[in-house]
Amino acid sequence: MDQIVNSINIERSTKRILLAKIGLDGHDRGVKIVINLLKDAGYQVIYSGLHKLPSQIVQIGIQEDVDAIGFSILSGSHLELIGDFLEIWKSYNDSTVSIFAGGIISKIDEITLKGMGVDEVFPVGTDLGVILAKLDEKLL
Amino acid sequence: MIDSEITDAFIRNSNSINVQSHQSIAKIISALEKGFSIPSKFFKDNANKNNHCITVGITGGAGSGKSTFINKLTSYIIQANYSVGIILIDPASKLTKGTFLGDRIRICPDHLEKNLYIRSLSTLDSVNNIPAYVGEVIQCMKIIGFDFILLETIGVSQNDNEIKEYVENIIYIPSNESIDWIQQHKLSMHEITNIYFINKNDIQDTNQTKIAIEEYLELTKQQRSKLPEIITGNSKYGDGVLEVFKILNRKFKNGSDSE
Repeated sequence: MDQIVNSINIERSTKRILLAKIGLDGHDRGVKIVINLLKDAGYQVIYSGLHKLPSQIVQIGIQEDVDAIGFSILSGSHLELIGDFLEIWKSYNDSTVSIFAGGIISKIDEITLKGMGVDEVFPVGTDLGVILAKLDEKLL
Repeated sequence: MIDSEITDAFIRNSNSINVQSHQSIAKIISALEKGFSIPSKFFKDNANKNNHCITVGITGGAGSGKSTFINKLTSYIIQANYSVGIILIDPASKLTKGTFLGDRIRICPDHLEKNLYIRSLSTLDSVNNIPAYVGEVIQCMKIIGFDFILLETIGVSQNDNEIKEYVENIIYIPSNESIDWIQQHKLSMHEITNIYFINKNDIQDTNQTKIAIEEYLELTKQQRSKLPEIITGNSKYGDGVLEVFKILNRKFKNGSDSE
């Protein structure tokens, strides 16, 4: 790695992103790649670990005062799980936090998720540069 | 200077430990991290709210088992109906400024409790291994009224004992490799440790480490008013952690940190 600290990294370095795995989904290769992508870009990355409940992610999000929450779901249950999460999350009325999701998500579900309040959806195969650019757009 | 809206909300919510107080302390810590300062009057006004808490620092080398140890210790604390605030520090890359705050993965699992507040912090620009505002974070936690406050450092090496400035009790988890006397004499952690927890007795010979530390303490006992405790065990399965909790619990019942 030959990247040196530049001004955009310093700008990112106080922004906190929570990456979460919820439900019975153990496929964490994608989320590990995104952890490294965001860390190398200068962000603070908090990872929840596997098999968390939606309510646990709400708790972590509140306690860590995060700026964004990203879900990685490859089990197909993204609508139910993110729906459960958003229901609890919105009861604490924290609208400044951006929510994004990645994984095996169809075009139709992408529209549904965005209607529920998810800001960005990154289906499998999304270019890493696109993920970073969209997050920068939301957070900086 | 920090926004008075944030400090006011904090004071309003600081009477009990619940989601609201979690929310407001989280906001304060974020502001501190971004470089805002809290007026000293704030701490002066609220100084007497809580003096009963026990502050504990957990330090040791990278991968020595600090987070796993805290996980077990926390479950004992919660089981005994105490409240606990935990600060976990992870290193920021000097090259990219990015931080992976991974301590939480090990600590979160079994507990979904309002008595438990966990906050991960990045070292960011600080020269030391502990960001300077951690002292203020601990003071805020005291105002909320946590019974125990735990502070986990990043993986330390020979000369990182600045944690003593922030907490009263130090638990040091030594790595099992440094068993010769020359290494022991170099370690500045010996100056501050109250409890040694020699970890991983399920996969390593911890006896050698214990003997090396005992020999060192024997040589220096005249300079000490009280010899530290040495406990062997493993934090993964909880062996020995209950003993550590009992020591801390005794201190808690005896009243205070500042004896």
